[in-house]
Amino acid sequence: MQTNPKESDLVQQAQAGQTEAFSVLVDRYRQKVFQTCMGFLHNTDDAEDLTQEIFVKAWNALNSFDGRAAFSTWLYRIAVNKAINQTRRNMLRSFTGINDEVTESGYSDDDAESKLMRSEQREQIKGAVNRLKTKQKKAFVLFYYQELSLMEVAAVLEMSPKATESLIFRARKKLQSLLSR
Amino acid sequence: MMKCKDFNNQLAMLHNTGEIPVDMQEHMNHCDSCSEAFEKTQLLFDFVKEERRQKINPFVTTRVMGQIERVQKPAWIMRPALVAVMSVVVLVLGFFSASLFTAFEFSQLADSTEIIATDYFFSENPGSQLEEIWLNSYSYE
Repeated sequence: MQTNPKESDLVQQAQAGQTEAFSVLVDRYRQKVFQTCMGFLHNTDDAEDLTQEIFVKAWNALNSFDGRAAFSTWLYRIAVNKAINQTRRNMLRSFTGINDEVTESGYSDDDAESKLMRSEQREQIKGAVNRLKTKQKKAFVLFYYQELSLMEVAAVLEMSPKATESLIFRARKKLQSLLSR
Repeated sequence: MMKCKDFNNQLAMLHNTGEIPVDMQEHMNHCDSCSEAFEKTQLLFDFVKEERRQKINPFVTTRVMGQIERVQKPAWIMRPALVAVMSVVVLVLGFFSASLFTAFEFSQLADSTEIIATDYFFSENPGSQLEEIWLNSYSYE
């Protein structure tokens, strides 16, 4: 029977340069990192590319991981920061008109009018999420997209659980206000 | 009776629209704007759920590892150039090593030819030696 290697052992092996160990870590966390990227970019291709970049960055910065926090916490911190940077770049591109692509909706509704309405609603939600403040957006994505607990979100953002709870509440209030317009 | 402000605060604390407290439900029955706010929140949760359901391509691991290994071993970038240079060196060595075995035979032949040519072209009376040989050989016939 094959046993799952311990995360700390895998991290130590990866820090020693063993790519096989890092590959196991990538397999373990790729979906979670991808979900974070989806929360920021709302596009599967872009989210996949960013996931790849995040893991390469994590590999290059592996020696700076000192084990004080969990590896996942450290990885998610890299993920949200990279995702925020990418969002800013995308905003700049859309401002300059470079990124005018139309994202495909997952709905298979034949009714054109209802499809259009859903598409508009999706755009409104995306716009509202993108208008959240950086910290609010990070907390919102980690809590709702990654489904991390309050304690885990707090660890990633290096805040107290109480402050994190308040941050998520304010993010939700802001979204309510933006969506009701 | 619940106020709109309280409803909105409670709504912001709901993490799942499936579980609505009774007082919120009662308020929505009488308040259109709060009912609409609830619907928008439902849409937000549906949107997040749909995006969360997306699965990453498992090939991403291979892509990540490929990129890492490319960066980790830059020496391998030189490999094609090294192979080309080594091939040329081996070819040149091959040509020279062949001449090592054949040079001895050719040198003997070249030496004798050189002696005859020198005797013929640089002697004061070219052809006299040959004539003598021929004349002598005829006398024996």
